[in-house]
Amino acid sequence: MKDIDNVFAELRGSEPYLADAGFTDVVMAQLPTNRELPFWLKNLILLAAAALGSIMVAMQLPTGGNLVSTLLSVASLPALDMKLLAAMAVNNLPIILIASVAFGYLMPYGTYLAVRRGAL
Amino acid sequence: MSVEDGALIARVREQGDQRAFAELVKRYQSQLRYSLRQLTGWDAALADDLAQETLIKAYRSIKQYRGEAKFFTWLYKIAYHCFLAHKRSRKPEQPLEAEHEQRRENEAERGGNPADLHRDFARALLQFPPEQRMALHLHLQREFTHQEIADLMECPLGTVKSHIQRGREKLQQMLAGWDTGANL
Repeated sequence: MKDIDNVFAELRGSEPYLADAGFTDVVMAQLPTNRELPFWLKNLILLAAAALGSIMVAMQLPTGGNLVSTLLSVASLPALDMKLLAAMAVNNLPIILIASVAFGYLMPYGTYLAVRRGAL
Repeated sequence: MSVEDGALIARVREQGDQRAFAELVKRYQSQLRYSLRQLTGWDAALADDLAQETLIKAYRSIKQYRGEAKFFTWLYKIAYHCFLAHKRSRKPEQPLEAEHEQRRENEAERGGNPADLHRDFARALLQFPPEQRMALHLHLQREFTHQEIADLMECPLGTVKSHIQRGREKLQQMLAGWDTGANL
């Protein structure tokens, strides 16, 4: 009579390979559908949204979309006038809101991505 | 060139890549199904059902896999819980004593072959409670250490040692006079 260890050595040595025979396909068919967008598509949508927002903001600039001219004109303001600033804020309220929302969304998401990729 | 398990798992975790998961299934299906056949008395249909359930649960919870143990060990842990859940929902199995007696007589007459050996051991394991069956299989067939089995089954190390020691003795007794062909 063989020892139990010898028998199991024989069992291990002769373990059959069970042919897949469609097993993997059956498993894959039962997996939950992946509702999450692919990683690259998610990033592309975010990038497109950010670009669209930037274009909209640029088009609303008083100097006809010329960012450099606008910055120069802002820099050449004689003094900080709170009333003027308040008036500008009221006039550009929609743009400020859109920019705030975009910033508020992109910043945490960007931080999350950076942490996940080990950049932070 | 085959891709490492870790890379495939990362693709499943981060991108929900089902093709990567299919590759993992293809890699481990044979071992997993074989083990479950051993645990279910070589009931191929039941073993395949449990293997499918195991793999679907693994896919759903793959974000919980931290890579502390081998992927296959983690799969086994899920399989063990599926197996236990199945056992608890069903009435106890019959030890198939009469069938074993008949089989022994037949084997003695015509001699055994490796396929019969696998099937016979699977059926012999039915005489053990599910927890002990799992411990014996993992130790004797898969060569897991006592500590690995205790971690996988989430039970004390002493319990695992006791399961294996007593199981070995009982299996040895069962082997006595049970000719499986190759001079057993």
